[in-house]
Amino acid sequence: MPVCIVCKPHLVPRPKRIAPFDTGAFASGLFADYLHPKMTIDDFLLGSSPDMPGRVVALFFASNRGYFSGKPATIQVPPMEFEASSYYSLISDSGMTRSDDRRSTIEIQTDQSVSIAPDSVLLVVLPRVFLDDSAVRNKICKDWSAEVRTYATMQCDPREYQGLVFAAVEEFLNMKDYI
Amino acid sequence: MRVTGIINPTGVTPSFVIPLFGDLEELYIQRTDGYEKITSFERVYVSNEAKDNILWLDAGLHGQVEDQRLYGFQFEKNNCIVGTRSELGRTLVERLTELKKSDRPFLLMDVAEFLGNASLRSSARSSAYALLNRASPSAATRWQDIMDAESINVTQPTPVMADPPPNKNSLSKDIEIKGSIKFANEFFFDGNLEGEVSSVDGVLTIGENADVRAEIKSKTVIVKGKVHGHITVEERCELHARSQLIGDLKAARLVIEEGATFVGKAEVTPSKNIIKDLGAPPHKEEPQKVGAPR
Repeated sequence: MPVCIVCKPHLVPRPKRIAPFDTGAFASGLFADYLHPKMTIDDFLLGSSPDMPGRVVALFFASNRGYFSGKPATIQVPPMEFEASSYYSLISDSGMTRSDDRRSTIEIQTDQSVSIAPDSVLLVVLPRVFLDDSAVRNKICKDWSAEVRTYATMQCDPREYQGLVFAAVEEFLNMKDYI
Repeated sequence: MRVTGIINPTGVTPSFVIPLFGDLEELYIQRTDGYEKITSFERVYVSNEAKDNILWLDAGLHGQVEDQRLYGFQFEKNNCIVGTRSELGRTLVERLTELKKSDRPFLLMDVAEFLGNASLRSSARSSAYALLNRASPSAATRWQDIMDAESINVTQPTPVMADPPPNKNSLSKDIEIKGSIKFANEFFFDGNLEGEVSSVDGVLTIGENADVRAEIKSKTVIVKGKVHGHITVEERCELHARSQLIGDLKAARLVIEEGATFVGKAEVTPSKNIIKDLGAPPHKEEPQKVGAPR
């Protein structure tokens, strides 16, 4: 069952690598229809500057809301910018079904351990029944001082949980004016 | 397909669990619609380690497409039940005292919502709030506010003690219609249609043999055949494997199975009432996120 943790950007130490999409989905070939076969993950890596995710969002999605909803801005990519052009095609196709939101999820990799400090977690969305565990309750609400949102777990089709998590996060981000 | 076991994704008992179908070599989970029906089965790959968390069953239970979907509940390590909503509901009611003793108010909220038991949900929610309040009063207050805002209607309980009424209209594959269709409740269409289909709160299923050239507006739409036209649904749209949609789509929730063909624009807006928005002035639409299954 999915759990989503929304945290402040400073939680992640200096990134090691940043990619504009889910590198696991790339490695699985889910983006193959949009990218040249000779393109590798290295062709799309964005360096390690912490401001790079914000720059990708500003350029390709125009706003945080556009990024969250996977709705790219209408832009003209110079034709010789092959990687940027391919990426824009990838995130712009409304008919694709195989790669879902992993195509536009910016991935930040770090080679350092990430310790979750108090006040660095904004929200945790999790199955409601997990809160029956006092250790989970105390960690989220007491130690992290995070907001908690829950979803019911009686569904027998696990596919339904993803939409519930997405809706909860969207509502939170709206409320906080992050998107 | 035979029910071969259950897997407990929470790792604790008692808990709702996910029924598994097939056999030891090939395991499947059911895909379901918003109306308690099994629509297909999808193979799942379970690692050897995860197989240790499966409780294997040999109860002679079976499920197939169009059957009522099956729920599971695990009371203890080797004690679980798999059955339809009404069958599981009966067992949960019988064993409610036992569940109340488990001191799991958040689980009891799930059970109450499953049973449509408003008073149980209210008391469980109070207990859950008290536990959260002990950890953090501000988090508990915020959680309660969100619970209040959620549109879970348990004041009019779902009748779990009886199976859903057969309010299902259907037109078979020999039917050919030019014009408009309005329906309520559930409508299964498997023929040829040119025109429009609309319902305020209905569930429309486009069958595998259907060839529909129409504007479709409904609460929920399940596409198994061919649709050429725009679909607007207030809640959920499912494009099943081998289905074909040529046209734009607006939905609060969208599920696209592998093998479905979709040519058009999708606008997925989880929190909006799309039907009510139809009267708004037209605006330029751009490609949006498609919430396809992973």
